[in-house]
Amino acid sequence: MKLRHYVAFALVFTVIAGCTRQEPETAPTPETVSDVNTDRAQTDSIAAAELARRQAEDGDRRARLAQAQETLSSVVFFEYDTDVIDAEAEDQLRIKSAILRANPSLEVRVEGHADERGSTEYNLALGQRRAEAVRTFLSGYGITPNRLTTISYGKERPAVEGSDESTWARNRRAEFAITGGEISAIPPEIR
Amino acid sequence: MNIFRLGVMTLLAAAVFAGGALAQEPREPTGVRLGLMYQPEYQPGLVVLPFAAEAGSEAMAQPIRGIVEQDLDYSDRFEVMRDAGGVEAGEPVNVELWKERGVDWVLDGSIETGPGGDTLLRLVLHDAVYGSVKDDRSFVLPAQGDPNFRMAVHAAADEIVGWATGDLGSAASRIAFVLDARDGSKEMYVIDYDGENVQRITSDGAITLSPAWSPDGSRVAFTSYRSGSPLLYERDMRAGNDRLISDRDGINITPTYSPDGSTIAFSTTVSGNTEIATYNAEQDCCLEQHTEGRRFDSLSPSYSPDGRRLAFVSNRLGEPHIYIMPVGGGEPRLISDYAFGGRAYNTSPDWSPTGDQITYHSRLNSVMQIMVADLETGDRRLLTNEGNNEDPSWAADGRHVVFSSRDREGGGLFILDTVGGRVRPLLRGTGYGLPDWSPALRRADSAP
Repeated sequence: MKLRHYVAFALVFTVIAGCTRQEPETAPTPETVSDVNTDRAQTDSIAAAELARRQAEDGDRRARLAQAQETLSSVVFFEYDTDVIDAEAEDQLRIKSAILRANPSLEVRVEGHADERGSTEYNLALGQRRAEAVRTFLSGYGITPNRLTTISYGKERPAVEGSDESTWARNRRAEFAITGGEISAIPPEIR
Repeated sequence: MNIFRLGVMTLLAAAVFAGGALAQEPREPTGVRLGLMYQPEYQPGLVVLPFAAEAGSEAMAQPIRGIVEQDLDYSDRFEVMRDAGGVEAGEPVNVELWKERGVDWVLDGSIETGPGGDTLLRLVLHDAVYGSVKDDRSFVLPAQGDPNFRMAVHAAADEIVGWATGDLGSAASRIAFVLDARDGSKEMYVIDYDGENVQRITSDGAITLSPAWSPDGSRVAFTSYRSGSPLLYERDMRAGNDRLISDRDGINITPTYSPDGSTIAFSTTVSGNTEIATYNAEQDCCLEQHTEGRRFDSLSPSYSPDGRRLAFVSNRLGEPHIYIMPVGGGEPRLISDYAFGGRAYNTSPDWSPTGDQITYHSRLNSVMQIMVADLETGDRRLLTNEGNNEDPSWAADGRHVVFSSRDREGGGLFILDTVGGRVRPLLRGTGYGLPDWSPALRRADSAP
């Protein structure tokens, strides 16, 4: 199973789906009332300005959707052999909870990981504990726990290879994958 | 009386004396252990003579002798003299000569044909010190091309160890392990204890972890991510099919069988904690929870040989340690070394089949080393000090352990004699892990 591919796929899918749905509605041609020729130039310039405004809005919306997507998927890190959610992780999770609240159909899998130190089996329990800590935190912000599934990969799926403190720090983490629904609403927190 | 037998008397006297002091600690029932007569640190000399063969079986004699001699060497119970010194197969055994050369045991063998046309391996063990025959028996062997052929010879060698020491050897056994395929998956394999006959068991392209043999060697429980989540399965080693044991939400990991084979203990997520649970493998039902953590985990259970207690890992003190507790629940007792404020890391316990020891790995100077704790004395012994060594598993003889090493001699699986300290490689290379040593997979088939 290629999780990273899955996440990438989910991302691409959501962006494509977003584009399709957010496709600029064909601007209704303004009714010509009396003198078509005299109004033409003025009408055209109004329509052009309107189109540009809509396009800018759409582009902005797409960017914000992508930002929401990125925020929801951002990796949360942990200290050595602990599932404690630190201040930085709290900030990340609060914004994630806002996105989840704004998009009630969204379902997410929380994946707990550990660094390579320690034993295979203990790290599976540690990864699970991290994923559960995230779920508990999010449910404290009003997210129904059944929208969040958890899985532990222990130390089986390092994000980066290596055996130094910075590598370990990047591998002690929780990842987020959308398993259902999509982001269509952008919460005020990321406007 | 030689030094060996004098030593035994001293040992017996010491055992009787020590018995009084230990009376308050209930001891594991270990059955009749003639092994008490054996002094493990001393390795008596042993020679395996060339095996005679009837006409037509000559080609079998040398390979069979080779397997038996290697098994006796790998048992670490003897100092095996590799040179039988110009003795011809079938010659009368001159035990006096061997005694003069410092040999205590002389093994003679021959390949014969039984009344029913079976191939028989006759083995005669001479006690050179007493000038007597210790034992003389014939064992039925399958045909040389039979998949059980080597295992049958191993089983005969295990008998020889039993004749000489009172404890059967553990050569008729295999080791299950996982190998990292470097594509994000790990597959399960098994290998004979002597490094022969590697077999791939799973081909899922998924993470496979923690194989554990059933006590009769017919099944192996393991964790697999083949469905996407870490679920617990059991492989029928004869039929080759799997059944699902536990698919609870969260993790389903670290299986082990009760000594009677009826129950699988494992670890699974309950209310956000990892807890030890049991599953009735016979009735295929009846999940029971055995621990209850408040913000801590319990995992990696291993049964005592009487099935009444479990060794396991818990981080209730903040860092992982080895504990034992009654199966039905009760106050856990700390087994590994706790230093206040220290950063200990002790995991992967395996309770010895003899009941008196638990092996595990422990972090020392930022690498893992194999430890053994003596349950009667409370002593802990460091068994390795080179490389990064993990996940020890006992052989049926309660003397040898297999472990994985990341960097010892380039990494691989290694077998350690916990008494004499000898280490031999089983498989060399990187990516090998989580070995589990099977019980005796075959008993020698004695001919009438």
